[in-house]
Amino acid sequence: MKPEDEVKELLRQIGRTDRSWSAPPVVETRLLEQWDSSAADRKFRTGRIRRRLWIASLASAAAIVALLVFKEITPSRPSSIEQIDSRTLPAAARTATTSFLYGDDFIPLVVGGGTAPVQLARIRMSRAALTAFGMPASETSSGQIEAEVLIGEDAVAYAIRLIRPSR
Amino acid sequence: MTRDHSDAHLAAAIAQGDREAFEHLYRRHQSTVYRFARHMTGSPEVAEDVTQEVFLNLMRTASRYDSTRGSFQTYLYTITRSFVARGIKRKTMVTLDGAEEIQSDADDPLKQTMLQQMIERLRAAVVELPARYREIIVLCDLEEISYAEAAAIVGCPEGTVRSRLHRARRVLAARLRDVSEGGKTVQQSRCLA
Repeated sequence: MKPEDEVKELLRQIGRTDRSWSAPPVVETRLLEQWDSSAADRKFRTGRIRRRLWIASLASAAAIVALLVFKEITPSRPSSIEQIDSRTLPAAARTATTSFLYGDDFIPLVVGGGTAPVQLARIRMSRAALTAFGMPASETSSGQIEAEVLIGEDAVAYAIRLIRPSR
Repeated sequence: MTRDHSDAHLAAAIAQGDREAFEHLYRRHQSTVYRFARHMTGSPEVAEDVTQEVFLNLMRTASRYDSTRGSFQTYLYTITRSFVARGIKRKTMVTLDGAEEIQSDADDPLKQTMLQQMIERLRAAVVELPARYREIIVLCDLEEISYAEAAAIVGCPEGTVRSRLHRARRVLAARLRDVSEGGKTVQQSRCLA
């Protein structure tokens, strides 16, 4: 037998004898203690995370409720006469809201300057065309309205007055 | 705990915080880890520390084990190997004490004594080998695992495992011969160059 093979044989004998080796029981005890303390730590951390999630959820819910309440009590800016009309406001309030367009006074269209108006023109136009004069009107508005427009020498419309439709 | 007691399932259960799975896996593999560490370091104390470190590490990183990349044993040896390297650096190695006596068929008490002496010398010689040769001897000859698995653990080609094993055995044979011939200096460095 070659010396290397002899060594191999001896080593295998040693290996088989040493199969009975195992770590002392104290190692397992220490490891399980470590496991338990880690588990307790994990549980504590999990509980803390859950509490934080609860707080975050409650805060979000409170914010949503506050937003809804605020939206409910804050009147939104009307974008058109129709929108105002369609709102469920008392009739008196609705009239007060829309009547400012139908006064005796002209509503200026140009701020300051310009020449004195020389001509008064009565025109019929679609309700939607009010937007061209910077007045509130829905894009879906239908029907014709009458208005008087003050026109200057330079052919610029200076003021407008809506004619109240006869009932 | 899960009924599936495969290493992969136990590792997955450990990652989920299953204490029983950890106990099960520890009892199944602790002796492998301890033996490898003790053969590598020659110290029961260091082997004990290494075993504890390896399983503490496993406690935290069990989820990293991927059964498609190799056996759990290979994974465990790989971790143990790195802790052994740290253990060797930290503590001075000591020669094995209290190693079990090998039961021989020889009836002659003189032969039995000579065999025991040879075994002790061989153990000491193994511990004195350079680490890269020692680990191959431990894995392939003492633990009798396949060359392929040893190559996977050490992270080198199978051919390298074979050549290291051959050289290491030659050195050990020379060491035993020299000691028995009267303590000549072993030319290890030349053999392992």
